[in-house]
Amino acid sequence: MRKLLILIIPLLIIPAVVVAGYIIGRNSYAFVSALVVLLGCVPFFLAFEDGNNSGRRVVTLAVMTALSVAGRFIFAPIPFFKPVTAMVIISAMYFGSGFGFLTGALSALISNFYFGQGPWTPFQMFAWGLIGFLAGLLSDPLKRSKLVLILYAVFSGFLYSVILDTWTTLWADSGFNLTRFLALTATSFPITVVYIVSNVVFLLIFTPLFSKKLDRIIKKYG
Amino acid sequence: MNTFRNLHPVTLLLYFSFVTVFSVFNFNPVYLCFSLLGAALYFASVKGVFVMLKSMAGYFIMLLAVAALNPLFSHNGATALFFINDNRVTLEAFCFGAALGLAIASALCWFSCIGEVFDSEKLLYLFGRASPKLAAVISLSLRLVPGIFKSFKEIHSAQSSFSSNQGRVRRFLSSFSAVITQSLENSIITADSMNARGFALKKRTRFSRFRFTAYDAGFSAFFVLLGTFICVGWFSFEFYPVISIGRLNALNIMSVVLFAVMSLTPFAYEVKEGVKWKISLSKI
Amino acid sequence: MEDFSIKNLSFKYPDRERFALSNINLGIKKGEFLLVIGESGSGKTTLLRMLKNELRPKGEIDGGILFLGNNLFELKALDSAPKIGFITQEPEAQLVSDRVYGELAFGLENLGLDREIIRARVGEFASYFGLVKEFTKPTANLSGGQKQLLNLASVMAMNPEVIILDEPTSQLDPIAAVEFLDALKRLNDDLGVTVIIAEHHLENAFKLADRVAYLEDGRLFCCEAPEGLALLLKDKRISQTLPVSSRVYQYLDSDGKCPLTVKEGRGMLEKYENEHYISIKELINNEEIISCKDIWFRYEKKGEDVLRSCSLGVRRGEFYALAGENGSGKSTILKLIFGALKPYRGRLRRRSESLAYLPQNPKNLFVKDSVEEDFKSVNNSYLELCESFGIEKLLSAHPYDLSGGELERAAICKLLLLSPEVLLLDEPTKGLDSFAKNELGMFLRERIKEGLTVICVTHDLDFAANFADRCGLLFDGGIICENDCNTFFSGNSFYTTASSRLTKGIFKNAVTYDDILECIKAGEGK
Repeated sequence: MRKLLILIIPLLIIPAVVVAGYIIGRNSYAFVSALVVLLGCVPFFLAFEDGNNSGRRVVTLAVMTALSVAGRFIFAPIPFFKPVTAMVIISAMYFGSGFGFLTGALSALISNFYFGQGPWTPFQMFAWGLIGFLAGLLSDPLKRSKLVLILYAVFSGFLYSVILDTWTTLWADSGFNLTRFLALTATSFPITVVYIVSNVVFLLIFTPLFSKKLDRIIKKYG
Repeated sequence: MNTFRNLHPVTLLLYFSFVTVFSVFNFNPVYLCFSLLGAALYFASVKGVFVMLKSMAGYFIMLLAVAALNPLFSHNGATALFFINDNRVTLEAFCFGAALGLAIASALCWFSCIGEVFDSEKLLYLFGRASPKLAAVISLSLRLVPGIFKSFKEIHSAQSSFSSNQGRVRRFLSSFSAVITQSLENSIITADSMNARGFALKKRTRFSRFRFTAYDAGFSAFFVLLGTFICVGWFSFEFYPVISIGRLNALNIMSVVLFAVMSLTPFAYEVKEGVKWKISLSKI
Repeated sequence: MEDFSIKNLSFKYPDRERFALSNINLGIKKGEFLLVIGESGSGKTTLLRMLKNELRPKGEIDGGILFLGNNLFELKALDSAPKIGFITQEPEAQLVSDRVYGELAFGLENLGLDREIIRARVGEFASYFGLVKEFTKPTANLSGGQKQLLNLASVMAMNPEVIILDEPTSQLDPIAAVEFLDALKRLNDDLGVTVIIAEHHLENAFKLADRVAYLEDGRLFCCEAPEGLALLLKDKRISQTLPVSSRVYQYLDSDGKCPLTVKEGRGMLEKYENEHYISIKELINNEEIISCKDIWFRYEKKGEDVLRSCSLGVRRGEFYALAGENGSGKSTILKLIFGALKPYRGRLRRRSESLAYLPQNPKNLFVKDSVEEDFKSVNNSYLELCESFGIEKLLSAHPYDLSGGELERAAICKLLLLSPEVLLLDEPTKGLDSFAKNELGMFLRERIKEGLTVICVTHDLDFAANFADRCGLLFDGGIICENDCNTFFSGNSFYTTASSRLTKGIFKNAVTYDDILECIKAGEGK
């Protein structure tokens, strides 16, 4: 039943929701988009529940999530320096795409316990989850080339901003309003750029460090 | 004291999904006014009037800003007030902006209430029902976050003796790197402790302190009924091209009244229980 | 019926020459309280981990273990998890839940038990272990002792046949450690659960055991009742860790049963007259390098005062130990002296501005991937210093791979690279075994000869009595008594070393084992 759901949700239910939203009309777009991102998280959650995850893997997921959440507190004195995206990418690079998605989604969910839940929670979950998922798919090139890593950090910064701005536009205009979207993107652009720079810095420093730390742990404990 | 937050998490989830969906995805100012009123009163009963008024002031400024800015993005509407660079600034867009501001305000206010009511324990309970393993991950993360923050502070202050010649950001990064090492190292002990207690051997159950009683069932049924009738009698409010309300019938009026009842339920609950408590105390 | 019978067990870690365990034969009876002792590296942890399927290290195994008559290695996972409980050193890292009740329920959830059964079991064990008030609280708010009790409770909730504990009290303060051991003994008495525990501080654990197994280089030297063990171990270095009564018994070659407690031990010494004493050494230097006069401190504006009119003077070139309960403000004083905090009233004068501070967890001083890199980042002429301290072989290691004692010394060396005049230490003996403590104490004494001043906050009264010059007791926000160590400890009746309690009224001012020997020798010489 669960295995079936993992397939049915992305292949049938999500398209059905989108079509239904289209039929009902513009007023439902914001609601439909929220529903779609929430449903988008479900297959990953289900796959994790069913997957054969050892204690080690479960703890590692919790640790990576906790590090990215605590990172938001730790770097609070340094403006715009939030290691969440970078930690999600690192987590995905070394532990796979499903793992990356969960690190991202859970980081958003848990950090909003401290910073406030809101209608943006599902979108943050989905955005960071997606960044992790894609990073997991690209893990080999990301590990091999610094350039790819930088490009991906830039891409993920924009992806995050696009997903959240799109939602805001859909909500405010009951439809996609390009002017508002561009205005939102433009106002958040400087912040996005600072985030991207901090992500790049963080990734360039921590990716080699992390792989060293991980190798040591694996060697020490098997 | 018996308070609204002591209802079963499933009942609370049902209630808050209704009110937030009705507030976030709806621009009908009639409904929204009741929504904001209910949220604000309940918020005041939880956090005190002063805190509520403070956040209301913030919401009000935000509402004005959204109302003022909306006509710049949206040129729909028949009644042009004036032009900026050949772009029409319409009354309707302005009114829609105000309604949007109202929707944002009531959504934010409801989410603040949710933050007060829905602590991690309740969320874990709901997650645990669907996915006990994921609930274990979330629970462990919640346990780790304060510890990681604490050891960062300790490491960072221990490092202060050495790194006078380093930049602030670099010092933060090197302390954070040490925190990662510590966390990975400790994760082995944690994993051992999980395995020693039989983690992942068979399908987990999830224990919780909550019990779904007839009382909770009654409230859940009440919310579902309210929600259904509110939807059935929903009346539409169009901003474009001109502001128009559909013809009001009895069902529409019922829908609005029931929505008001729904929004005010948490506040009324607190008031009723407060009074009951006072009476039962005076009898002692 | 035996719970475990270990037959000809040998074990070798991969890539190692030496056998970690060789040819161990040991039967552990149902309901027995077995204490496992041995120096670090003697194979205690390896032996304990061999008994738990989930935690058994990988390597070459020879021989076998029976559990309740069946091959342990073939025990089903669903039986092994609940039947054999395991607790390690780290109170916090073992926790897996954000709330206390979640932790108690964790093992039962893994067994897939029904919610109502878990509810009953969890409630019962929370009451038994005195965790009712904390039941719904976050685990992060518990003290170290409570965390370790919670770990014990959550293992016990699964109704184990045996619990195995690997140095469970090493990270706890002495009072919490005694509480933990008492809880363990009570479980053993009340429920008949078999207890197998490795410990390196035996003052309290020794008397609880039914039998004590002594491991030496991976071999089982003997396994005897504690009274019998003391004589067998007479010439072994491990004797240092035995309770002081037993050590004195060993030394005196007394007749009769070996005493395990102070009460039993005082009888041996009664024949000595009340005229031997330890003379008090005069302190030469009176210049105060640190002086606090009536300082007040609180952490929050509306919080309670942690320090109230606290005065403290530390002289140049002395080793000052500051004792006191948890939360008495010991660490706060250190931070005030260091300058990380500021008193809101009173005067704090430092004659020297070069101070170095060792935090409670020495790991916190290291941020790089090897000790050498960390040293290099402080001072390039580290090699010389390391050679003179004899720690150059630690340089290439990762800080987290060092043993507790090595880490402590490496951390102090890192601080000494700053060439401080005053060294502030916060609980430096936490988690160290007796040998490592002695080495640390001697190391510090040598640095003091070279002119260093040491201020050390500690729970470890034996360490203070053995190595400090003066000792102060912090209580209710101020220093309530302060003196040279001999006067200080012989003046206190409870807040003192076991040696001092053993000799109270017999030998004046004797507060350490060495003091006792000195007195006895003086008596014999006469």
